[in-house]
Amino acid sequence: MPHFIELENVSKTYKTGEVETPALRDVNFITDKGEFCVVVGQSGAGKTTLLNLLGGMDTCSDGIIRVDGEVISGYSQKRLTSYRRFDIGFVFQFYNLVPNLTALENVELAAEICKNPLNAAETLEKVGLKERMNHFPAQLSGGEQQRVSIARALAKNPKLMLCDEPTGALDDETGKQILRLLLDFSGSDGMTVMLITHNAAITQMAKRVVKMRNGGIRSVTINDEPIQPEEIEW
Amino acid sequence: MVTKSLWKNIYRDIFSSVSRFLAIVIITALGAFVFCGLRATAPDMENTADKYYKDSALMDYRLLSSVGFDEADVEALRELPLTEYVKPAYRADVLVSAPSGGGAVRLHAIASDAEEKSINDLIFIAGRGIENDGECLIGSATFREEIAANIGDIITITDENKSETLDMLATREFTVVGIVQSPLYITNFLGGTDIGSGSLLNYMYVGESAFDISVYTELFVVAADKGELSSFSDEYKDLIGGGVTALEDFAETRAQIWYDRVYNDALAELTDAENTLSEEREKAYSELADAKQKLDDGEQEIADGKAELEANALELEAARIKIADGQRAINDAENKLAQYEMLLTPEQLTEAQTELAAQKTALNTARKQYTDGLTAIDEGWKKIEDSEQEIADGRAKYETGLRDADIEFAKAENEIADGYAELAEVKVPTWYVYDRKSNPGYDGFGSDAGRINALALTIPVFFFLVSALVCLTTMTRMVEEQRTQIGVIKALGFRRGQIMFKFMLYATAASVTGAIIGIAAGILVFPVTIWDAYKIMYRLPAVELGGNVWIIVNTFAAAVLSTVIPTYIACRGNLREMSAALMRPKAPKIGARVLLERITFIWRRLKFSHKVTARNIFLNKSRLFMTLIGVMGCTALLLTGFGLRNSITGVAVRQFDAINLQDAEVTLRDASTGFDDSELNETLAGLDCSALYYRKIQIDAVSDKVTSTTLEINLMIPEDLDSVSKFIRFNNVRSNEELTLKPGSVIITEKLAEWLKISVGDTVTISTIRTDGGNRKASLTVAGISENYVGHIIYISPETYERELGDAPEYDGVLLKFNGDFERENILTSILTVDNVLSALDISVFRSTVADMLKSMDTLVWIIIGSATALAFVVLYNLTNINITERIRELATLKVLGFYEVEVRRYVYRESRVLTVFGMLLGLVGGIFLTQYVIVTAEVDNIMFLRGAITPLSYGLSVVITLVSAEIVHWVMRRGLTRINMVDSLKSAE
Repeated sequence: MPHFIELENVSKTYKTGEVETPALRDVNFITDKGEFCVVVGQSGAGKTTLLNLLGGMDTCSDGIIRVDGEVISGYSQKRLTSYRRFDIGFVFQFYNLVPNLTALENVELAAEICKNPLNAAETLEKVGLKERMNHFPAQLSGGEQQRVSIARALAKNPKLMLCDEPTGALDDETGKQILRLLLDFSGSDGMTVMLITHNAAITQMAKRVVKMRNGGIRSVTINDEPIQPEEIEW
Repeated sequence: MVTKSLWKNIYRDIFSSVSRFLAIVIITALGAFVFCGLRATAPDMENTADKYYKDSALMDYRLLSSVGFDEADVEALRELPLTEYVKPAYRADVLVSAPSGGGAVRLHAIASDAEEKSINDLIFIAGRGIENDGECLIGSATFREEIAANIGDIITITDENKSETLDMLATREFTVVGIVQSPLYITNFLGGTDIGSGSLLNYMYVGESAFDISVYTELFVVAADKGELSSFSDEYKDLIGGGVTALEDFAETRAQIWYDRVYNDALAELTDAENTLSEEREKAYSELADAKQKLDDGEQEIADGKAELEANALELEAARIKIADGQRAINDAENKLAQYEMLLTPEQLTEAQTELAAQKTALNTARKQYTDGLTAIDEGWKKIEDSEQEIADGRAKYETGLRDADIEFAKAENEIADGYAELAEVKVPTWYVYDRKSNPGYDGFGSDAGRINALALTIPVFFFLVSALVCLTTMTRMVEEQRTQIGVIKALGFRRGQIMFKFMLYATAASVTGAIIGIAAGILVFPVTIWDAYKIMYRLPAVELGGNVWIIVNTFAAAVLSTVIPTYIACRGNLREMSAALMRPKAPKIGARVLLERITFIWRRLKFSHKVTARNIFLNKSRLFMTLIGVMGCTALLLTGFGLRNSITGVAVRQFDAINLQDAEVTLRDASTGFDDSELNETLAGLDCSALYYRKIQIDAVSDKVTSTTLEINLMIPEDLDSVSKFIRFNNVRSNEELTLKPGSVIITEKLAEWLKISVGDTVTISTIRTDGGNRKASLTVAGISENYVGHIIYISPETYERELGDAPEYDGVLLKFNGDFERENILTSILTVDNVLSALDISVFRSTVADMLKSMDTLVWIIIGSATALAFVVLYNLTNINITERIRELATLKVLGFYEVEVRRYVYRESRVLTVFGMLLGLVGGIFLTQYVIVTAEVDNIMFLRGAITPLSYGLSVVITLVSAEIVHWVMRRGLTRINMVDSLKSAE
């Protein structure tokens, strides 16, 4: 049975004029459907590049990326957009909410363009923002904004949820609540969650941990007994 | 101090954002182009004209008099401190015939005098000056073809002229040797005259020997103390105004002097004549008496002679008898002697014989005496007869002499009596003092330049407002974009001034570049284009550019400051913050609900994306207003351009298709017979057309508000009020009803009513010039104000004219309207064969003349439309660009969320489309008002532009250009949208 995500010898090189900067070198790994996967590494290890490639925001220079049986590494810009639209949910470190839209509207904005979106209000209720869904981002705390961001990703009903340092701008307690949410949603409807972070502590709660260094995979470990986010010691 | 690295930073900023830099350059250039160009035009026009006036030594005053001027007048005038110099001249209005036709022209001759200075110098278009008698120069200024002569043409002063006029002239035939342009006539309309058709068709210069007249008829004066004053300056106008008043006083004095001299001279002459007469009479009659005495004496002598002769005859008779007796005695004595011969002694015989011989001798002597006496008597009688004849002749002569003397002296007495009567008639002459305003076109040109200046104060302001707004927005955005950088530089210890310097330099570099380009283009394009347009009406040399430094300087200052000041304000606001605060991203604007959301039933129905648009539009209020005002300004300017064009080009169409319905106009040679000219009427009867006789008279002044020197106003008298509507449609301006011309009132044309500020029911006072120089005035009620675009006309019925303004009108023109097709060539030719027809003109000639004249304005309009379109592009480009760069993060997020390119574009552009449409709608409304204002200020004197004539096409084009500009800008910007890099944009919160 094929894996949900398969990367075969994926490389990415950025070209600026004549200078070539390799960001990813020969990356190979897999993730199964419904897994909670954490990619960890120092700054410049290539984890964001990996996330960008998986999210269809960038294309790889070499190798094959397969998601849910489709080879996305050969997609055109337009197909990549469709891929982002229908298959991917994205949670950003800085939330990236549209400042001019209320929490609810931010979620609706994403839901509106999908085939089988979840109800925006219900999704917000699930992330615990029932009472504050008509507030504007600037009226919400960082944690609340990130919840909206998660709700926005969830409402698209994606196959794969990609989270880029979702707790990076949050305090510990709020960060744990966010991780809890992500964990809760992983596996439901077969949704796979992939989270990248430089914070090794978070790896404790992941099923699969991918450690990166210098643009390559250092190790992939399967954590048979992941702990609950609340128990993580930072 | 600005460090090297800061300089580098500035260069990089310019090169890394070429589009922004260019946007500021272009928008500044556009503003400066229109602002400087349009304002430079009027001064350039004025300077060019002023230089021409100065170079040609154009007169400042012109004096005319009803009796002419003599040397003493000229000398006295020269003595006045206000005159620099005086040039006596001759002039006469004459009817001439030329190869191309004929009509009224004004003849000029400058008298030669001791002063070397020239006046009203001519520009030679062709040919040479006058060298011999019988040569002339002719004016080039005419679009009436009647008197357009070529070199070598012979121009003849016709016999139709008044004898007073012909008496003034020594030469009546001239050969054209040069085509000239006189500064006295700078327009094609040369003024009115009392001969011919009432309008001067051209002017001619001849040598002074062509005039045979003892006085000068015109004096040209150059004012003293005017220095380098511009003819258009208030100082000059004040100087000349004062001069005219002083000259009028002077004129009054001189006129009185003339009167006194003429009166006293005549009186002395008459007294002398009377004295001479009485002396002569005495002498003549005494001579006659002497002659009579002599005759009487002669008669007496004759009678005496006769008596003497008769007495002599008696004596002779006695002598004859004595002689006969003596003879008989001798005979007896001889007989006796012979009988007694023997008886006698010889002595006795000898004695007797001697005695007898003595007796015979004595008798012979007596007989001779007798014969002599008879002869003497005969001679005496002959003499008497001669004398009697002599006396009879003498008496006849005397009788004739006496009769002649009686007649002669009676005549002389009458003459003296006439002389006294004439003396009583002598009046103080009238002097007329004019300044340059009396020169045709002089005033009109000044007001045309003024009108362009008025236009220059409206349209460029809009351009500037819009460009300043866009610069403000752009620079504010630039400062905000570089917030973090500013923070960093500040944290590194650079002073505020140094940091500000960078932005100021950026703004200055862009605006200075733009200002230089705009000013250079503006001062070249506008004056030349507008001058070309006015050249159709004015005869002036080529325009001289860029005279006005002040305009260049203040345009430059305004252009640079309108960019630099907003930059300074934007910088100052940001630099006040602490550097730490600057390095943090600016707190996002709190989203806000818009008013529309309160209207839930509408809000709910809106599509989600529309709601977003509504929110976004109102999120940034300053940008909302800038976009609205920017687009509004562009659309308003576009609509103004197109509207101006509609109003202008519509003039010819409306005037000649809806108001003047005639096909042709005929001018008659002799007005007195016109109406009854059988030859003409027969010709017209054969042409299947309707004819309307009319008389057109130039009005001198209306209600003392408008005079013939400022406006050419005609009084039009149609002969037949019933058929006039076939030829001229009097449309009521407001109600669009048709007006009818009724006896007892007048209809006046719209623009004249505007000038006079009168409405229906008001009274106007019309004054017409009479040939003797006097005026006739009549106050009449305005019965209607009629639509009219070309010229100013007051319509009056013949009855009213005759009653209020004098004589029965002499119809000198005919309007023709053809029932069938108008085959102009054949028809006009056949009409022109009629003796009394001076000219027959196809109305379409006027139509195209007017259309040509107005086409000149077209160029200006296209510049405005072009500039407005360019402005629309730059404004929309800039605003869209700002909108995108400002929200790059939001757009990147949308892309990550899986929005297709087309959806992202729609998301951004929907806002700008909505704003463009609203701005455009506002612009259409604003444009209507701006058009109205611009039209009124831009009109020329004798033309009225159509009011409210903006066509649907113009609205359409304004809308289309605005929308297409927006869409082109959007199309250009899609590359920018596509290039937004999701990865980079999401990395940090900056």
